[in-house]
Amino acid sequence: MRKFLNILVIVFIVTVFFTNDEAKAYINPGSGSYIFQTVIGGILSILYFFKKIFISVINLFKPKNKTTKSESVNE
Amino acid sequence: MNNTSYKDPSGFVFKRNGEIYRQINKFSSDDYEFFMSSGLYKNLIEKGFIVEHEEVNDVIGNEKNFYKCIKPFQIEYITYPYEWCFSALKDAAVLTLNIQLEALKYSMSLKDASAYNVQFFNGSPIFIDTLSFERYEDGSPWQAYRQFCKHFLAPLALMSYTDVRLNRLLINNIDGIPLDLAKKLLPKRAKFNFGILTHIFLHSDCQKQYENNVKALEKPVKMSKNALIALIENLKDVVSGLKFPKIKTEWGEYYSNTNYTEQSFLEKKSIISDYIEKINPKTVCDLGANRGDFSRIASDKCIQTLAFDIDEVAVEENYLQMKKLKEFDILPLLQDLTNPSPAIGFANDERASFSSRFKSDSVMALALIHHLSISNNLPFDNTAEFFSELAQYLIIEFVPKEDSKVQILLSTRKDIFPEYNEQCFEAVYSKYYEILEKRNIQSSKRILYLMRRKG
Repeated sequence: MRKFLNILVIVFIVTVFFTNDEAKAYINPGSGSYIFQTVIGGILSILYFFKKIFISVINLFKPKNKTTKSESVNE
Repeated sequence: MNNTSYKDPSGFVFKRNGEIYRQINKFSSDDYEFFMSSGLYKNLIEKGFIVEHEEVNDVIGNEKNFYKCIKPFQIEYITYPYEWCFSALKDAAVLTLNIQLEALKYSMSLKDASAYNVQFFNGSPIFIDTLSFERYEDGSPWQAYRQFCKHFLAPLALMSYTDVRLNRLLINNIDGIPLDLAKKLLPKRAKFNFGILTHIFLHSDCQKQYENNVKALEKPVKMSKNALIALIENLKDVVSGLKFPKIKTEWGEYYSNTNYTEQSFLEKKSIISDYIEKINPKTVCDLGANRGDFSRIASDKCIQTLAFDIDEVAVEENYLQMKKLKEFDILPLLQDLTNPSPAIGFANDERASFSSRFKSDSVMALALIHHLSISNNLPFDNTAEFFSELAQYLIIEFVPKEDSKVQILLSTRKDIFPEYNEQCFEAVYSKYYEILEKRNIQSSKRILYLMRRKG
């Protein structure tokens, strides 16, 4: 399931970015990062929405007082 | 400490009477006041994420743009990301992301994600740049995303997938490792890590794709807050998932291959402990500390100790032990003493050199001299001068030619070191130091000296 989602995301990104042939003049090296994160952020928000649901369902069947992996180093 | 603050219109750092202050310019007065009044500052202090500061009235910086002046908590030793081991850089990255997540809760955002904004204090990373926060505007992307990838994700990925020594690329790339360079250096298998594939490979391609596209930003780029949070959470997962590579190095198993007997090892510890008690230093720099077994003699006495070593595995193990034992007084750092951290950046004035940052009360150089003298052809004069510029006291172990470790060094090369002996060592070091004590380590041919700098 996860692999399928990964492939789907990659196909989407490649379609969005690498079919664009416009090349006019220099803006700045950060503009690509701006555009990239808006797209990847959108995709990730969907994935993380389902991840949260998945984790909360899993937690229903887990004994209490266990922490999730994302509660990491500095917390 | 940080001479790059002139690049930031929000304010700058300056030093007065040996203490660090930060001027806040009128330009960023709104952001600063919101940061303080929104509760974000208090929240970050409570979590131990950021250094405390106090507003001071008696120190006025540059009049023209002056708004306020703050005095942050003073961190004695400033260290840089190319001196941190893998897990230290990883912890600093996670801290930066946690701060960004907290900031978003208070409608603020980090406007930069420089690794130089993080320092280590009491065994943990801590954020030091109070002026990195700006108001979050609904729909705006994370301005510091690219910088985060260059300062943290790229070096961590390279260390994990390519070679653990590649964090030193940060010396040549003061604003982080360019993503196209990281992409070239990463092996193909790194693409199987979804986070690395997206945030480095595809991110780099996208930068290239849009660098010449003038129309790209004609329409404002919008991103929902949920998408922004998902991006930060994902970066956190990617960083947390990176692993220190499984490698063996020369020094990683040094103590299990040592020629010491258990008794002489304990005796060496006892002599060092005795020397440290005699000089009672506030700070110790242990040069060639390996996993920090001897550094801990000092840090266990609540003496602030910097444990330097060239070996990534040894420093990584030392750092993990520091974390595990929750030690406050030791900080393991990477350092090649034959080529210490240089002063870098514009006019060589943005990041300070090793020798200007690490002055201490005492230096320990244990089982080090033979590597400097025989492996690196450094004369006693040069090493003595180097040590004497760092600290007043020196605890140094002389390892004679008869020692098996020196024999190994000499086994593959011609012995061109006729002056490498106890007498010459004492004669040369006596030019810089007064020898206070000299003790032989039993069952070994090694000698431990306690010296005090002359003058």
